[in-house]
Order: sequence, then C-alpha cells, then structure tokens
Amino acid sequence: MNRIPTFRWYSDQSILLEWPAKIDESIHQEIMDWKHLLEEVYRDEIIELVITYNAILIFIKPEVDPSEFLKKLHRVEVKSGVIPKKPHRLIEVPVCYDTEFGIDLEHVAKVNQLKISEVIQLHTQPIYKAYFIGFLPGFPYLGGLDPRLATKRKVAPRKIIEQGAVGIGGAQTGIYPGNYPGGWNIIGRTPLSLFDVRMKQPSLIMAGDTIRFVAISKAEFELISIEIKAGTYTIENEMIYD
Amino acid sequence: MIKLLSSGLYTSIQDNGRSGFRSIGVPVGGAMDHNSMQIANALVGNSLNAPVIEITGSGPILWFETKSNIAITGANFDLTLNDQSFEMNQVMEIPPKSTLRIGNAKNGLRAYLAVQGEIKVPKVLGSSSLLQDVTDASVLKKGDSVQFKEKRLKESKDTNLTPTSLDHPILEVYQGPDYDKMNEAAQQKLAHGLFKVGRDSNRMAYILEYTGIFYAEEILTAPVQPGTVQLTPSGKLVVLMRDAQTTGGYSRVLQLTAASINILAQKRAGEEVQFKIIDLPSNTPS
Repeated sequence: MNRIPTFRWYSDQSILLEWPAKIDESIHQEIMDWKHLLEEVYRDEIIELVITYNAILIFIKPEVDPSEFLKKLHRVEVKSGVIPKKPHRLIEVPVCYDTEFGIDLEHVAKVNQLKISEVIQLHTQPIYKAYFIGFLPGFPYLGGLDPRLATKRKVAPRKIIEQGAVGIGGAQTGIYPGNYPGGWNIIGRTPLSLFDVRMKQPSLIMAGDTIRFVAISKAEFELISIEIKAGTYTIENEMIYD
Repeated sequence: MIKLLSSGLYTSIQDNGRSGFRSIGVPVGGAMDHNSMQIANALVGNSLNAPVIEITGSGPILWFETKSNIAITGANFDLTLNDQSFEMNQVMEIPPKSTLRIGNAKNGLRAYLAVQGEIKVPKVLGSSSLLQDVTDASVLKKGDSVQFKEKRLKESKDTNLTPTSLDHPILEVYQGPDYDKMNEAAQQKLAHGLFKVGRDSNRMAYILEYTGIFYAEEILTAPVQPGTVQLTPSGKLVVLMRDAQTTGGYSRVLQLTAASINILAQKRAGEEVQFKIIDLPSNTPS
C-alpha cells in the first residue's frame, strides 16, 4: 500500500506531510521510507525532519523557497522496497521492578487484577517499537504495551518523577529522561540515561529502534549504575536487518 | 568579564538556538524576540546570531570588570550606568569597573544586551542558549559571571531590521494544521476575539485568557513548533514559544508568523492581543 500523504504549509519555513491519524505499523514504515528518501535526496534544502505517528514536519533552510520545495515534493514518488530499509537496533533496557522504584506497581497490578509478578512478566515480554522521540529530550514514544497493563494516568500528577523511571500512562509505556513532573504510573527504574548531551548521539533511543525491557535485581541496578558512572558499561544492543 | 550583582526576574544567555535536534526532542530555544537580539548584535558589529544576555521584566545589576562597548535593544527599560542614565538602542561605552543597573521595563517585556566581541559561554549541541536539562543552568543567578572577549570592531552592521513593535496588539497568523477541527462558531471567536496574556506565560508557552469558551478535540501526538497556537478540549488556548516541546496532542488551530512570535514575546501579563488570519500560499503548485 503506497499512500501519498497530504502536503500543507505549516509555518513560514516548514511543510507538513500527514497520513491517516492512527498508530499503525505500515504507516510508520511508509513514514520511515519517506524520511530516508527526503533526507538523502533533499539534504541541501532540509534542516531536519520531525516525525510522529502519522506525520513528517520538514524544516526548510532559510534560504530555500518553500513554494519551490513544495513543487519538488509533489513530484516525489516513494515506493517501498526501492529504498533499502535501514537496519535498526534492538536495545535491551535493564529495569529494576523492585517496589522501592516501582512505586505504583501494586496499583497497576490491583487495577488490572494481576499479580505483581504477572505485571513484570507482561511488561518484559514484548519487543516495543520506538515510533519517534518527542515531548522531552530523548523521550521515546513506544508502541506495543500489552493491553492488559493499560492503566489510567494519575488524576493528580506528581511534582517530581525521578530520571529513569519506567511508567505506564493509559495505553502507553515509556521512560522519563530526567526529573520532571508527571502523571504516569511508575513500575520500575532503569539505571540507563536516555539523554546525555556529552554523547555523540545524545539520545539513547532513536526513531525506528526497538527495545526490550529486561528485569534486573537491586544489586544489579547498583552495579550497572557504578559501571555507567565509570564509563565501563556497554548497552546490550544488536543490529536488526529486516 | 561581567558579574551579576543581582539576577533580575529572568536573565539568561540566548542566541538563535540549537537547530538539528528537534527529532530527538530538543527544542530549538533561543532569543524570544529574535529580531531585537539581531538588532543589538548588528549595532555592536557582532554576527547577528551571536550570544546575548536576555533580560525579562525586571533587570539585573551588572558589574563590568573590564571596559566594553554594548548595546541594549527591545523593551524600554530604565537604565543607569554608574548613576547616570543610559541610552537604549545605541552603542555605549562602558568604562572598566562600572555598574549597570537595569530596572523595570516601561513597556514591552524583554531586552537584549549585546557585548561587542564574543560572549564566551560554552556551546552545548551547537548553541549557547540556556535550556533546562540541556545546559547546566537555565538562568543566570546572582554571583554568576559572563566572560567575553573584546574585539574592536569598526562599525555597526547595516541591516534592514526594524525594531520589534511594542504597541501593536495585532498578531498575523496562518490557519494551523488543525484549524478545521474547530466548529464555525469557534473559528469566528478566534478571528474576532480579544485575548489577554496570562500570568503563567513563560519561555515555553504563553497562556491566553478570554471570555466565552470554545474548544477543539485532542489529536494523535503530532509535531509542533514555536508560534503554534493550541486549543485544548477544555478551552485552554496556548501559544507555544521558543522552549516548547517538539510534539503535542492538542489541536494546532493557528500558526504565528515569525514576526508575530517576536511581537508576542514583548507582551506582558494582562496585555491584550488579537489575531489577523492571513493566507498561506497555495498547497498545490500551479
């Protein structure tokens, strides 16, 4: 299925491409195909692209005429299979689900009529896809949460949620990249840093990556934290060639 | 070297922001009134997007250890240099060991202080703009010092920049991507209403208060940018500004032009604005 997105001006120097508004694997793949093509072919005109579930926002360089660029866009034809799929990474994210970190673990279990051990099992079982990064630096929008774990956001958000907190907000799951207020239900914590400006790639997770949560003990959490501080920890990941 | 003897309401270092990291959730940031920043830099002969000190509402007291030439543009602030009044919008020579008191703005909200030469603030992700969780600090505090390297530059740069209007209540805007998610009545209210800048407005977003509620439905999380006007299901009207997040789940009903963002950046809590919707160029090439 090769849908053509709608094009529209958004601001003085940006163009928005939109697909039907839903969270859908095939739409996401089309978006990734378009993204790779645009970044490759229009490298000289584009500052960068921002993608979400069903859109691409193209920020155009100040010296480029957006009308001219829009004309070029209308002539673009993206066929899937023609652009070689870029490999993505499968990243293992270690999470300690100890109730000291998982302050809402009991609540999530109770609301969904599960045992705590079942919550952990259902959370660590899937391979999640990072559809895009947004909201906060390094924050991944993950798809694939088991519907049995969906838990409404808290009515009164907490003033501070610790960096690395792993949470469930409605039908979404994610990881807080810093200390921020939030209404998610916190079920664990990862010692990994999702965003670090000193790194060559500041965001740990990139759009298109897949991740798996792996349960670790408190002792392992402490050990990994020490290794990260010392710069000796290697994040488990593998390249997946589709 | 410049030292802050007092911090002022909200004083920070800004340039034209960090571009190229929106896709990992990092807002571009940068000077709220981009135009005034460029005029200040042009006056002292700096490159237009060199880092400047952004001053908000109530200004800091600055100690200049060494001599320098500076220019301050933007809102009309009360300025005294060593107990003598000091002019805005022109290059002024500051003798060594001087105290510059930046008081309150008579109208407008933000001013930009450019120092002839180079303000030396570490660049993070390509920019000196301060931003929470990207740079170590998000504001300058009492006791902080700002280093600069004096460069003797010969003359002001010629630009065709005109000062940001401080008295104009009308913001030119385009229809946003979700404009059609409002009903006809809401569209009318947006086009003809008066909106008051709310107290909680800041570098991330301006809240606009109004009477006679209207609203729009939530959307699937979508890309947003500074100047995007969001309308929530509960009727909250928000204009995203420089430090706003890069994606959002509320209807994007309007988009400010680049010039309008600078104008809004000078509006204070309680001031009123109106929208004037102008046409976007055609989406279909002729």
